[in-house]
Amino acid sequence: MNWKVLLSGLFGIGLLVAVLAVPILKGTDPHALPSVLEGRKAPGFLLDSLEGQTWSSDSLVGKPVVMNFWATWCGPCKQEHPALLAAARMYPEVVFLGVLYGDEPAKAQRYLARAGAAYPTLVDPAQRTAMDFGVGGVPETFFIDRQGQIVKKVAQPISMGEISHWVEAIQ
Amino acid sequence: MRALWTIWMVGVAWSSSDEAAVGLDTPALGVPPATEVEVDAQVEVLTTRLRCPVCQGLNVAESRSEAALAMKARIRELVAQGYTQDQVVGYFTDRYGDWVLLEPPRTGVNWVLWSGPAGLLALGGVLIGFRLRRTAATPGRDEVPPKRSDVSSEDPYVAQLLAELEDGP
Repeated sequence: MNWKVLLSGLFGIGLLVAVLAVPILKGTDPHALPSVLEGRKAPGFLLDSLEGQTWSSDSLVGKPVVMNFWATWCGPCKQEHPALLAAARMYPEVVFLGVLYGDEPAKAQRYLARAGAAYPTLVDPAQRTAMDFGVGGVPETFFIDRQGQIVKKVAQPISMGEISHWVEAIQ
Repeated sequence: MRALWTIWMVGVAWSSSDEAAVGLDTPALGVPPATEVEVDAQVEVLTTRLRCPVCQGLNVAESRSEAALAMKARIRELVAQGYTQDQVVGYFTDRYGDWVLLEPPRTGVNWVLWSGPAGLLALGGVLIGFRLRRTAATPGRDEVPPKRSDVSSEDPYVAQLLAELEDGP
């Protein structure tokens, strides 16, 4: 047995395994990749809320905005809901908006009546706005500054600490 | 390749945001297809190239998820308006990044992925070639091994052992 050849082979295989294993061990998810929209202007939208009020991105110019894509069938969305409610009450100068993703408005209304609501939820027919924001699942939360730029996308259930951190960044 | 591409994207975590944005900000560069059949054909090609955003391992054509159906509807809409295939792909990579493509584009650092297997194969071939040449050039390689009777020993015990072996049972 040629030990040099054996060791070189093992080293090569080990290196390959290490390179491929790093992202797996880190527990990173492709959805958690930085959004290509971060640092770019937020896509425009014109959507109706569950209450029937029309919301336009143009009307939000100059205001910090937190947009949360969610659905009633999404467990993690329900998990983060109390934090978003508390944050919306804590930061009245920030516009909080929910955007319903692949769900029925009636179900969302029933859920919000039960769990509480502190900001409007918009209905996104054909998921056009979700597509424009590059949403790859829910929950996803976008933090948009006063200039209309996306500062951060959080693609996991968000905590109060994270919300506060990014709200400070967009104000 | 799909799995490797996903791991590569996660590991490298780079994006294509520096590339020219091609989306609805630009007018359709193509001519709207004349028939529904032509639209269907283009949609078929595009939906197999793009990844379903909520299922990862499936393309838009294979997935029955609501997100994939919405993407398919959007693709059909854009194709019918005369957007070229590159423009439609650009529309999605502009929003989702290269992650939305099932195959890595043959540009920049992705050439490492595309040329990696062939490169490793070539390297292996070169190493084997060197090894064979070195083995062939080793002196005494082709010499006939000496017969037992040619082997002698000054040690009487070994000499007797060799003699017995030579005589056989």
